Amino acid sequence: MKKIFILITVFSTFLNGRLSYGQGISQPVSARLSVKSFISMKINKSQNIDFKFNSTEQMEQGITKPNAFNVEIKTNQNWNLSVSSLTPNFLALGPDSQTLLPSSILGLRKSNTSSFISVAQNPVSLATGGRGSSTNGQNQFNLDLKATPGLNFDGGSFTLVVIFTVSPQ
Amino acid sequence: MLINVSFVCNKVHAQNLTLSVQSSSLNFDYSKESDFETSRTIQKAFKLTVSSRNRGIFIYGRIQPSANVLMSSVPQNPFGVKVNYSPVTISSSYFQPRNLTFSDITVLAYNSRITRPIAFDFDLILNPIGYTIAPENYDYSIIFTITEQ
Repeated sequence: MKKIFILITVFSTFLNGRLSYGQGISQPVSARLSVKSFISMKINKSQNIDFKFNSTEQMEQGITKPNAFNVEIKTNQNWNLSVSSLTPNFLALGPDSQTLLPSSILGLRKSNTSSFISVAQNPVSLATGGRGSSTNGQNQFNLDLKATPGLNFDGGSFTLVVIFTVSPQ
Repeated sequence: MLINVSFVCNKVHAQNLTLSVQSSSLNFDYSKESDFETSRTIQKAFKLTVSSRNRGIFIYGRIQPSANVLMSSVPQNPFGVKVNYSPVTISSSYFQPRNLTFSDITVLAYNSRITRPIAFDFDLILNPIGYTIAPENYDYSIIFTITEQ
């Protein structure tokens, strides 16, 4: 009876030792990622965007430059793209260009949308989107440009600085 | 008396396996385009000093986000590690980056006993996180575990 008791105890000890082989020691280390707000934008001009008006029809109906700009946005925030002009009117170039041609004769729209948005000195929203890289379809698109001077202004050469601003929503 | 022998046995195993982790400061900013799009390597970010008197070892690594964040909202694989320096001969595969996940992955194995403590240097790789992660501070524990083979 005494011998049987010893055998069982020894076996138990052996198992105890074997099980401990699988046990480990762990040690943690703290790490922090500080992800900052980030927005970048590239605008490429895809073509010559000079407008030449040679007929009353062109001046009344306007001239459209489809896909005049390609916009790429990379951001980790929802964004808003707005457009504005540096000055309320075009800058007249040369002695024959006396007219104050307003910036509102210029319009922009996201390609494949319907209505043009007039350019003004106050920023006007042109497009919105969400976080993601420029491979996200929402963050890469084209803009159509249209100029419609009408018949109320004298002829001449004019230039305008257009400002695109992307900001977090 | 036999029960006493059993306790001594466990204690010996615990003493025979040691792990000490030293690290540099592990605070990283993501603020530039390159931070979001390309990986960065922090040379010798960790020094793991180990010993194992009875058997060879496995060293595992995993990450654990801090408890106060939604698992789905944190970068899932922001870190990788690779051995930079080993004082003993190990498989060359451990010198290649391995991404740390929420489960243990083997970052080093050595098949012989290590009777005196030796130190392995590990590089930390910061993987690009892209632009789908919201601006925030994300806290993690990087957990190293050593076991006997």
